Amino acid sequence: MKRTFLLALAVAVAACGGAQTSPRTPAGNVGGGVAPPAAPAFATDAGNRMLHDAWTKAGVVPSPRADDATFLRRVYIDLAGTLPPPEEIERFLADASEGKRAKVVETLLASPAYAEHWMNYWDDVLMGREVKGKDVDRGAFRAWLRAELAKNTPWDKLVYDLMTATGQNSQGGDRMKVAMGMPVADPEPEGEKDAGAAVNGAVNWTLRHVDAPADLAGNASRIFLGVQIQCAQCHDHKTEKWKQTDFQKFSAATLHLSVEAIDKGKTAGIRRVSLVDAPRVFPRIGKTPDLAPIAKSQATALDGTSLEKAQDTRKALASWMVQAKNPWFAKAFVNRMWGHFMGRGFIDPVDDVRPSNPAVVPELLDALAEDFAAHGFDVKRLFRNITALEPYHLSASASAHTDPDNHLWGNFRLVPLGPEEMLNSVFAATSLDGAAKRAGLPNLPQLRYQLVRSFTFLFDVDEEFDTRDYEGSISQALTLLNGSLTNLGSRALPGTALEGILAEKKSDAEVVAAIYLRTVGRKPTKDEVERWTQYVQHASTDPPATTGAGEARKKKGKGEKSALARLAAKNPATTDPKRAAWEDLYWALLNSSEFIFNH
Amino acid sequence: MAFDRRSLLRFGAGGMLGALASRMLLRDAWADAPAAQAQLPVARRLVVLWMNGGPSHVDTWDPKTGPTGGKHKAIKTRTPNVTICEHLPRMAELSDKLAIVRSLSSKEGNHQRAQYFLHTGYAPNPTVVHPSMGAWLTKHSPDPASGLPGFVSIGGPSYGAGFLGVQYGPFVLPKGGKGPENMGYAQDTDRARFEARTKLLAQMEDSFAKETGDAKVEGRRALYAKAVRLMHSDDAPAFDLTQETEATRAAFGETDFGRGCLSAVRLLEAGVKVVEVVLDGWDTHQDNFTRTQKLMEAVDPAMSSLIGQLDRRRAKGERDTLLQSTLVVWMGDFGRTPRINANDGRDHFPQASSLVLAGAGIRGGQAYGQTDAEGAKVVKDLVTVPNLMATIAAPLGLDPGETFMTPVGRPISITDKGEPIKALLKDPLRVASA
Repeated sequence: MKRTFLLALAVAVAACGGAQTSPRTPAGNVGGGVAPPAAPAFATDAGNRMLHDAWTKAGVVPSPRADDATFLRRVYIDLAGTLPPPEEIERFLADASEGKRAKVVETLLASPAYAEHWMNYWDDVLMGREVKGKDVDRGAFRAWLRAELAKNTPWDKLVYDLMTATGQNSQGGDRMKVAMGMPVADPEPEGEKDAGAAVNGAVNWTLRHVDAPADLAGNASRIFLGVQIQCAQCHDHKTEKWKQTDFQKFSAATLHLSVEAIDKGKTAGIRRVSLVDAPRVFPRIGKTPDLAPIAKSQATALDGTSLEKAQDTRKALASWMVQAKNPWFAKAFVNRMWGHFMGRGFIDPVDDVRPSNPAVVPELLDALAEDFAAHGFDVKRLFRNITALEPYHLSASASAHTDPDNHLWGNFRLVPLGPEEMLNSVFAATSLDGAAKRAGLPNLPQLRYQLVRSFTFLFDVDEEFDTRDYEGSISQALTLLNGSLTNLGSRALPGTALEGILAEKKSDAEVVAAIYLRTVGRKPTKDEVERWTQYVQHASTDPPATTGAGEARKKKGKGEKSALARLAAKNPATTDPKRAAWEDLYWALLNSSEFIFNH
Repeated sequence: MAFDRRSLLRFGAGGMLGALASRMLLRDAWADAPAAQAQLPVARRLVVLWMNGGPSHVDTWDPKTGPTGGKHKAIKTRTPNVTICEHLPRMAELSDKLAIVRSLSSKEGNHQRAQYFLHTGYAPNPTVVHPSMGAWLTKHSPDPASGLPGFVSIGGPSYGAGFLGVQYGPFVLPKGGKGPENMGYAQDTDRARFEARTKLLAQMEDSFAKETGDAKVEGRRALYAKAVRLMHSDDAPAFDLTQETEATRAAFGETDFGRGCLSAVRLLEAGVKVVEVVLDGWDTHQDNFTRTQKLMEAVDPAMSSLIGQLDRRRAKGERDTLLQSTLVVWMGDFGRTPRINANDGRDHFPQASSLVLAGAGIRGGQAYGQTDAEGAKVVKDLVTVPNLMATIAAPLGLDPGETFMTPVGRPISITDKGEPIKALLKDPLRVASA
């Protein structure tokens, strides 16, 4: 209670803070004072009622409640980007207590995987999948994100710090290693390396846009306010009130960026620079055709607030953006996060808020946004609120009465795992990383980096809008069908999950159960147990005409000279047909839609 | 709000109707031709030879004399009054087939922005990801009957399909001459085992599809079926260069780019619609002359052999040669400064650059546009990137003005108000009477 009150006060302070000061004082520093009216707390019941009213009105009969195992897998993927470990599933299924779903949300919010997962999310949203910009140190940026997310820095403060960041981009060093995210994968305690050099990793986001400051304004508006003001860069918006001049005035706040080199002359790796705000716009910007009209404009926020009076227009812009009374800021974040958890935002795409694209169940969006702003933009609190609501607990199975486009979350939407989620899940399901380590393969961080890179390229998921169909490339399918991760991962090699299961479990039925728990996070049905035990027993008495080795050796996938290929080379195929049959089952589960989708 | 934008995109203005409309539009452009005789040279395939990093125009297709002309000499081509760099001798022999464009000009001098611009025809804008020209053509073409992908990129990832959806993007071969990754069975797996496994998978997919009733599961199964079809395609050897004679392989040059160009020929023969082959290394801030010479020594045999082989070969069941149905484009990020810097290099120069068009629909035997004596300024027939894109789109049967809805409900046309440059395209009448 007390904490809530202090945070609310902090917001009140922030609201009158004006442009010169930081938008809000850190909650911990606020002393006593007179209690303002208690901030409205979001009530799950009220939220559910709004949803039920919307369902009734639209004639939607929601699907039944998802079972515990499905919920557990879902919430692990959404909050921590990985699969629940088998012992955790068993514990959760055995737990008969009422609030166990909320409890697991708490556990995940406090886990290191939480910060790691959301670092990946925001790194992708803010930086895009490719490393861009010559002075951008992606590793330092990721480290900054992770530290802020782990601290649960209030969203307004995080965005303000990001928008106004100044200082040094990087420790410098080998570009390849930095790009490999070595500081992130570094076993050293986090922050230690960067702290000494006074690196502010946040500046790298701005540096990404330094050649195109209009994109900085456009991205800030799109990502943090959900307003695609940059549509008006080339011409007046066709359906909305935005004029070209609105975009020019808004972008004008970002023209003071200046990059000062710390490393002079040629640098082999990442050049260390310092980002500062110049007192005036450089004359050359006024001469660049694209930027000239922006340079001539008076910096102005989207609601007409002038940003010119402040000394530093970037700070003025950020202060305006993150203030509690900004009509877009809290809503944009709530909508984006709702989209992450539910597969579709109240407003879809999540970054396209405009009158001609209205929200569904707007009263729920408003209620969540109000609570978010009133409680100091506490991200974890919002996640608690969202995951407590009914749609998050519904099963994916569509009932006959659900609206065909499912715009009201009447059943849970299937979303394919993103690159890091997929890689984490394959590792969690197979212990392939453990097997590689046990085989003494060097450079595991590098292996992981390479896999992340190739998965990023292959499995990039656009989460920002909802699609009814699955969109994938042939290369994705080939990677999972024939690639080393699923093929080695499904083998019973020293250290892999299957090897462990076969060593530990006595009966075939027990093996099937353990395999299901490990891969798709649930117990198999009776039918499945029967089918697969028969399958392996049949295979062991009636092995297929040809087995592994001969022909396959010649056809070995090309281009896999990685550590994984060496692991394969060390371990010839099993000659035991029953073991081979277990591997087949494992392989099929790793390729299954039940594994590949969050559902 | 009620309509699904994706389905609008899919079933909307696209497909045959669009192609038909574009032909009618082009027919209007040549309205002086008697309608009965008007027959368009429509290309069905596209090859992009992408010179990554920004190829120096003054060291390749637009040679200059004087202090900034550099170390390479100019040689004559078969086309009167058109000279090119001495390190492109085989291309000089083919000049009757080439339209050399010397007057492309843009404002994008940053690699990433320029690469995006030259692939998509649009300057990057964070609110939308535009499709590349290759993706537009893939979207407008039926999938190859062979089971091969419609769009293949060799030596780099190229640019994708943006808002059209990943299925219209390129299938990537990371290195010229090397087959696709993961197309063969995994180690310790043969066809029997692979089929046994996919049968298990099918059972799992059946029950999951039934349980969820979600179209995405079926979509994923369709994708897997496509991948398996590719693995077992009769035309999978199209990826295998060992099927070519040693002499043919040698003619393309012993480089990744040469092997990539030979792969391109084989893939087009097998039904692939779009191939991009990347040659990296053109960002010659240092040591420009040694490096551009080496790069041209890769381009000259590869590109001339590509055009030569396309001119000779036919796709299965087709009467015209591949070159009669394939548009070939050589281009890169931007040109380079006439000024030679302290490191004997040249820097980024979007104000003027050169490119080459050849093949279906292109009027060869000409150099179009002109730069000043140094190559510093376009002085005649300036070509904008949208107009270049329209010139590529038109012979492919893509209407430069055809508009699609993006996922955010924004209408976007194939080119950014581009107009085809008639002088670069074959006169339809001449083709009809040929």
